[in-house]
Amino acid sequence: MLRFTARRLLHAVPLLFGVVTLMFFLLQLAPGDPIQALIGDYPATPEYIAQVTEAYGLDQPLLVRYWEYLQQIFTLNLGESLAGRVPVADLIADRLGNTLILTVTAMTFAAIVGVAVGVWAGVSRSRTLDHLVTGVAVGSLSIPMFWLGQMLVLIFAIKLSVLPSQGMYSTRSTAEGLDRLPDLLTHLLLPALVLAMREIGVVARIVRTSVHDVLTLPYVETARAKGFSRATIIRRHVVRNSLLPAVTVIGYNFGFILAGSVLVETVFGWPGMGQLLYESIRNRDNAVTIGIVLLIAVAVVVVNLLTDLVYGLVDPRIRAGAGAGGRA
Amino acid sequence: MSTGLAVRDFSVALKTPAGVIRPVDEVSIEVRPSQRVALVGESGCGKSMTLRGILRFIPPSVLDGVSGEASYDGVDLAQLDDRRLRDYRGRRIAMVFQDALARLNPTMTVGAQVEEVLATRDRRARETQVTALFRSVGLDNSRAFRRRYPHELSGGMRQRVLIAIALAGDPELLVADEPTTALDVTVQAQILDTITDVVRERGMALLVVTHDLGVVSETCEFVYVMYAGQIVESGLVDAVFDDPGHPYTQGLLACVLDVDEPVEQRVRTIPGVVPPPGSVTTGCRFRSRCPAAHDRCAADPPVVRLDGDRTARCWLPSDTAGEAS
Repeated sequence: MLRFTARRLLHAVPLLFGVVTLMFFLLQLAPGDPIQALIGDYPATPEYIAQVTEAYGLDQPLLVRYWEYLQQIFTLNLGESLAGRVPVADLIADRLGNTLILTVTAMTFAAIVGVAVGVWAGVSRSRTLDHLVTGVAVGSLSIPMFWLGQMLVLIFAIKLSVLPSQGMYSTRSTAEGLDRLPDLLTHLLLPALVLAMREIGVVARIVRTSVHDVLTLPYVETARAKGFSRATIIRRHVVRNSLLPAVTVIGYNFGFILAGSVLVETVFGWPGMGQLLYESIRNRDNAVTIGIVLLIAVAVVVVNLLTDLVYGLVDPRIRAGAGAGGRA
Repeated sequence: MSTGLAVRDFSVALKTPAGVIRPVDEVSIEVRPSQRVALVGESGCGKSMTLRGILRFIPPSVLDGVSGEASYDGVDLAQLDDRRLRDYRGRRIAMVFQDALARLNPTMTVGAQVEEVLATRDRRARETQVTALFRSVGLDNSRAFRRRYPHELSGGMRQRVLIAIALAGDPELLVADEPTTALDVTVQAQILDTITDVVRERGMALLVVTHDLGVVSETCEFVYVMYAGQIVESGLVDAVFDDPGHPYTQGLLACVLDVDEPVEQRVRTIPGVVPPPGSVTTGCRFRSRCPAAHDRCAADPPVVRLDGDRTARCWLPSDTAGEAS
């Protein structure tokens, strides 16, 4: 298991190197000028612009800057933000927790609801219910997040005034520590729901198909020959085995959730990494942009690894394969 | 007092893309308490479908309907609702299937799969019973072994686990569908010994479905020979094997390898294959492959009572014996 983990992490190194390189050069191709963005719509003399350019090392040739950036990254230094010269690592650290609260909540929510709906549709002998659930699942997949987010804000925050529309905490709240939890939860509900929506659809569809397949397997008939009721059979023999593909999907889709958090955090003013990424792209703050994308890449690699390890927990056959060093 | 399994004029109709077919056509079988009975025939002759029909294991999506009677202790199984049917499955009639790997849940330890059948709630008692069951089917009953998963066991061990599962409900009738197919020959013999031993010890009845005449002679007292959805011959195993009345039974017995004969004569076959259900509607269904076929075979042959319990569905013996009712 340890060797398996180490090998997987080693495989990630060239991947991350590729991400950094790609991001570095792609951002150079993007329109706009970081210095212009920094100075703003302010009439500046060419001398001043040249001075600022030199101060940030932007007068150096591209390859030289790339080489320097790589050296920096290698020492785990993500560089400094263009605006305010704050270390990128500090900027991200401030926001990472907030993003994790949002994404992990959304993922948990998606897993629970998706599996429940999927099993329900899968075991249902009613064709209509099955079609209905599939339809809703496809629908939830197809709705753009930013649109759904704004619609929910319109309904629950503006029309009904039952939920806050922006931020993580009420500005008027004076609560400290754990007392802030109820306030946090009301702010969390809508963005987490929007973020989870797509994944609920994905998970529900996968689980539904999987349940359908497992129900026809011979060992389910063995369970029937044991004299078990349909409910017992589903609970003991069908659900767990149907979860295998769902585990994969949920784990591998963590990247999508992180990507989705950029939109959702922007719509809901959630002070997380996604919002920071959005701002850094607008401000042409390349060090911050690359830093966040790199971190997301690392997160995806780690979560995928965790997924493979969890898979082994759910399916003893995989465990045996990995233990023998056979399958990766 | 139990009267066992009684199947009379039992037919199964299935929905297929080509229309409704009847793979099981007016089959009558009886398994009395503690009796060991075999249902034998080639692949595709309807043996397994007969079992599945009787025990209601055919999915409603393909089942067109059953007719006739399949009763246990006088209760017609076809009339039971799901709840009452479950009281029979596992507790009174237990099943052993072929292909044990697919028949066991891959994510559950073999011990747990046996244990979940037990009726008692007491954990100590369950442990004792599972240990005893593993021992009685010839498996290592250590805790470590019981915590293994199906894929970690050999084919023979998995088959033994299936037998332990069947025994766990303490049934009166054990139904085994090709229990030794796909196992090594040496393992086959051991599994058969295990099955006959436990059936004898517990005084259970046994119904074995197989294509292997060796299995029949080793485990059973009474045999039904099935061909193309019909029972063509039945009787005590010794009597039928000594003097088969139906040409099909004669053919099957002739196919059994005899090591005393020269090599080139050892392997014999019945030419042709079992006609698909519905392709022969009148007359003897075996006549296209029968070496003794003649003009009369185009008409439905009678069921002839040969002697005692023996019957054959053929014109030939009818010339020498009286017709059965």
